[in-house]
Amino acid sequence: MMDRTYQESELERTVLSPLRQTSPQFWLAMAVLGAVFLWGAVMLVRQWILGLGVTGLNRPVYWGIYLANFVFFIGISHAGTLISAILRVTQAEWRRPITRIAEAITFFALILGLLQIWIDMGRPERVFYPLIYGRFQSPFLWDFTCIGVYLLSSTLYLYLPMIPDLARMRDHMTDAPAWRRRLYTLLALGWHGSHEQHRRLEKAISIMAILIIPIAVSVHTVVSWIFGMTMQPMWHSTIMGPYFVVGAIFSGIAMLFIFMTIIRRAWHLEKWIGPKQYNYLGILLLVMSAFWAYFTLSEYLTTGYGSIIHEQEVLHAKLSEEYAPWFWAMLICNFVIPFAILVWRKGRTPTGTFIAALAIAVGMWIERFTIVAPSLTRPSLGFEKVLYAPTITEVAITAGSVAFFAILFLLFFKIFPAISVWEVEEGEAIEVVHRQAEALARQKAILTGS
Amino acid sequence: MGFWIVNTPGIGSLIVLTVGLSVFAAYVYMVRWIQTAPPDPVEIRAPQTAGEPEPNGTGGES
Repeated sequence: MMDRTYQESELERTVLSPLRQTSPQFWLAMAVLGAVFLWGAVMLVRQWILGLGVTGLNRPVYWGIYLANFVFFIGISHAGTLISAILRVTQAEWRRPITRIAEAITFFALILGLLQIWIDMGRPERVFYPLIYGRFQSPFLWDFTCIGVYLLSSTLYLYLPMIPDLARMRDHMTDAPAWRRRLYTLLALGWHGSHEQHRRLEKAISIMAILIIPIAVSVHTVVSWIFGMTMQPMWHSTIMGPYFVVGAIFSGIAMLFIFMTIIRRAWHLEKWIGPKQYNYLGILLLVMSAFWAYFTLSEYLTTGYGSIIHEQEVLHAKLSEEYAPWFWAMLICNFVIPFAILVWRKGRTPTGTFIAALAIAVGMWIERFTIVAPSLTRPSLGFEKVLYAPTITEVAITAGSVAFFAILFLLFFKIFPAISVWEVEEGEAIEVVHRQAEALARQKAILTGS
Repeated sequence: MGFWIVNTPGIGSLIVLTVGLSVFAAYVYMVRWIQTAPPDPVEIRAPQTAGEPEPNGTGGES
């Protein structure tokens, strides 16, 4: 039973509706994703039993698509927190309906990113090795530090703006199952919504929004240093840090578009996630595409003119040999398709941006792959050229990881509201005040004759 | 000393754990700070005296 004395707003009713009832499409999506996840899980157990020999990894190609997945997931984790934080700090009012989706992407992408390292280790118990043998001269340990702090910060940054909504659900969603009511009560932290509590919450969110920007930048810079600190051709480059950060923000915005569009459609949030969000974020995506192209040109042109023999071999592998289809597909997906769609105002629609974002998601995964694999097939130190081709095990585990990510995301928004209700209501109230102030100013101007 | 810190297995992990636990403690403190915020003061009205009129204008001495 619902609390009958409480009148829900249209926003609240719409946002909470998917939490109250489940459509057949949701179960269908979960069944498909669950099957893919199960396939990946079975192949992972098989890999644990038989060893990493079931993958395409070999000497000297010790990293393959698991590492590409790791960089990709850590990259898309910038969707959320960084974009949400920047928009919060700059007080962009249109951010309000999309921040929670963005923050949730960050949280789950980080978990999936860390899982890729565990998968790449080959045996489950090796997860403790960095703790036992970790030396701080290794960039891996820097990475553990940054990702750990980022995960803690992103969790808090996702959680803090949820508290008032959780309290609302604790008080009014009395028709929810008992375990969910207990969960809302626990997570609402006894929220009573006093002025002082609101002031403290807003202050904490502001502090976190500012803190999280340098943390997010540090995470992807350090991820790039795992590559950049080695002497491998086309890895040992000073541009890797900013190149990775730009790519991360780029793929993050694309992923935000994909999940925002799915949730908007499935949860019927068209009234709140509308043309304004698609237009502004579409422009941001276009700008990031241009940045990414600029960094790519800088990296490849410098390498091309450098004429260092090992780097030339890797460059040729990408431009005209076995990795050429990947490389050119990457350029088309990351630059040609987004520009063709997003440069026009008419292209920055939900459908247009969704297509551009899907292309970018694919293109950015390929970009990560073409960074990881080609350099290792032609290493600097005395190995013959080798080939790397992912096996069905790696493909299954990758597909399972993507499915797991989508499952976690959808389940999260079956339990918690996809839009920050109190923040959107606050934004609407601010807009009303602005309109009233403008009307008063106009009246005053008429009266004074100016 | 510096070389020993960066090059000894396990010491790096202790650094990571120290950083992680410090950040975790700071965030727990932040959440507690929000949780312990006082509620709004309840408006307490003084009991009405015989000579005081009712808010709706009725009652009291005329």
